[in-house]
Amino acid sequence: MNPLATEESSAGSALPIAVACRNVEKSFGQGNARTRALNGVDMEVRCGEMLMLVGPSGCGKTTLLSVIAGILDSDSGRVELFNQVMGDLRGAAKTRFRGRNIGFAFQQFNLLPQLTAQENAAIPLFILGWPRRKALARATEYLDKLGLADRRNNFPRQLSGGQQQRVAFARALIHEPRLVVCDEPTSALDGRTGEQVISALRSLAVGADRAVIVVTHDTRIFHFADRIAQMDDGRVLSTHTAREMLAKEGHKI
Amino acid sequence: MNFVALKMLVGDRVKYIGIIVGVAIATFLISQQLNIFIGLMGSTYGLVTNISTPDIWVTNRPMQDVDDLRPMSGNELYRVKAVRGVLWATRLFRQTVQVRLNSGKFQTCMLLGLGDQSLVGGPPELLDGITLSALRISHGVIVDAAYARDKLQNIAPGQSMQINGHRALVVGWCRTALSFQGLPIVYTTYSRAANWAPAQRHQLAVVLVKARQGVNLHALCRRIEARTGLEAYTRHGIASKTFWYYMKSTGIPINFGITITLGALVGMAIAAQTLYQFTHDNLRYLGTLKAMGATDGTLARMVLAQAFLTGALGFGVGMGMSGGSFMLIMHFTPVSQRLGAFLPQVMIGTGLGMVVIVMAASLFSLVSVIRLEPAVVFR
Repeated sequence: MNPLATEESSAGSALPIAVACRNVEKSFGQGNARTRALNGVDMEVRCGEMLMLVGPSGCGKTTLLSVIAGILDSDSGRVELFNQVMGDLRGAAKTRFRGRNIGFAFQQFNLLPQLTAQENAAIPLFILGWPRRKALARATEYLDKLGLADRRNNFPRQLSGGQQQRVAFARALIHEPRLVVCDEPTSALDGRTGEQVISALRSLAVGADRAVIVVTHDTRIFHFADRIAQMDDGRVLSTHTAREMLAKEGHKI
Repeated sequence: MNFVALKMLVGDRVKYIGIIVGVAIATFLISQQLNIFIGLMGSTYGLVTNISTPDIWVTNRPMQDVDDLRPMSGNELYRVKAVRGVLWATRLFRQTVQVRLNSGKFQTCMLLGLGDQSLVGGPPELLDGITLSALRISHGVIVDAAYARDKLQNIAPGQSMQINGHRALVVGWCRTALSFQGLPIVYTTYSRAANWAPAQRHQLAVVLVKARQGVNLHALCRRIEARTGLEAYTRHGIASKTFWYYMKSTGIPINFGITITLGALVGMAIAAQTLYQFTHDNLRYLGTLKAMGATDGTLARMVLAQAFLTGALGFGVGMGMSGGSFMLIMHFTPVSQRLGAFLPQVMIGTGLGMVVIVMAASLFSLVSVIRLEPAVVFR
């Protein structure tokens, strides 16, 4: 059980703000086909916090995650990451900012099939220009932390789903980003494996100056969250502690 | 990130080999056809290549190519000699003749008669240590060794054949450049050649001229033309005129041009399609890299590294195929059927062509990578 998932710690207003969204809007398409994916989102994520974004399919969770991570531009509103206004960054500067400050974990893992687990985990360091030997040594360290040291020379196809997600987490964490964003990281895993990988993510990614945002439908991992933001129709409707959310959903904690 | 790019490429073996095969086919087609084209066009002025020493060729007017020589009066030699700037001038006889071999078979040959005294205009390379003075032996002729083997039934020095009923004794072998008509060349003296060949009103085909030291060859040509009414060309000039005659008046350049262009297009289509398909299949991963902080420049360098590696390997394989095919041709076909050679200039030219093709092919991939939205990773 997550020791931080209490009302006291999740309130955490003393901790600095990692992510701040103010009236963020985003639409796709034009004319009659225009769809509003984000409809004035206001939200904060504090350092030391794991926030889960939940809601029905198509409610804008992944779009919000993409806008926060700087891989999609909002139409209006303001997104700040660690006091950096994302709208002020353009092109390569924005890409480099992402490379230094954000770690990504994806639903389908997106591991490069031609690279070993160790090489996959080291990719963010390659992007940051680390020497290959040093980057691979650091990758071994992270794979070890995630219990995969003995599989470091395996290719993704030789690993189970849970092992692949751990490699993906190693890749998301290896450059010690200040924000880790995860899109449905447990949807392809069975319940027990899902809990194991989220537990590992939580222990490695959440720190005093770092935060994690997880988009999920998986109620089995809610108890790892400090707060859970409920979305619908492109808005954040409410934010609860994990305890409150689970109680509301009728789950036992 | 080049390391990642190359591992991505090599890890997808089918596409990796597909791109290399595309580039190799283009390289092979382009270099093979270019070599044959250059060899064939070079053979059009084979007579010029096969007659060494003189600076200027003087022919009867009008002359469209070096195989279209209209005989002129023997007196023209003296008129040319009289032009200021001429160090010496000598006659050249040239006529196709029927040669009767010992087996009774006939073979059409090109008979070249060199100046009786000077023997100027001999072949570029004599074999087995003989000199042109061997032609002073009675009935003496020198023949090309390769043609002797292929078309003159292995005739060797010491053996004889008949030219228009006259005995011709082979006194040595030489090596000549390929002629466009593929006829064996038989060298002898001018008087002997004129005596052996079927009679015609005039017999002097070309006056070969050596200019005095320091004389401008083009100016001397103009002076000879003005004084004699004949046509005068530098060695390069007559070769060039012949080359351009064939370029403008025959279907050779168009046909070879079509083949070379098709080779380049087919190769580019295969390479571009496979390279694009490879990039397209990896867009999700490239998007992942982009999301994780790889800039467009980094991704472009990755695509170019992949294109460079496959281009270099494909070029090497294609050149190997091209060189191998020429080795087979050299080994299994008679000299008269060889239309080209493996030229280093063609290798360099083809290499540059392949750089353009691979760059053009990778452009499609680059555009898709630069347009790629990193948000694709969450779809």
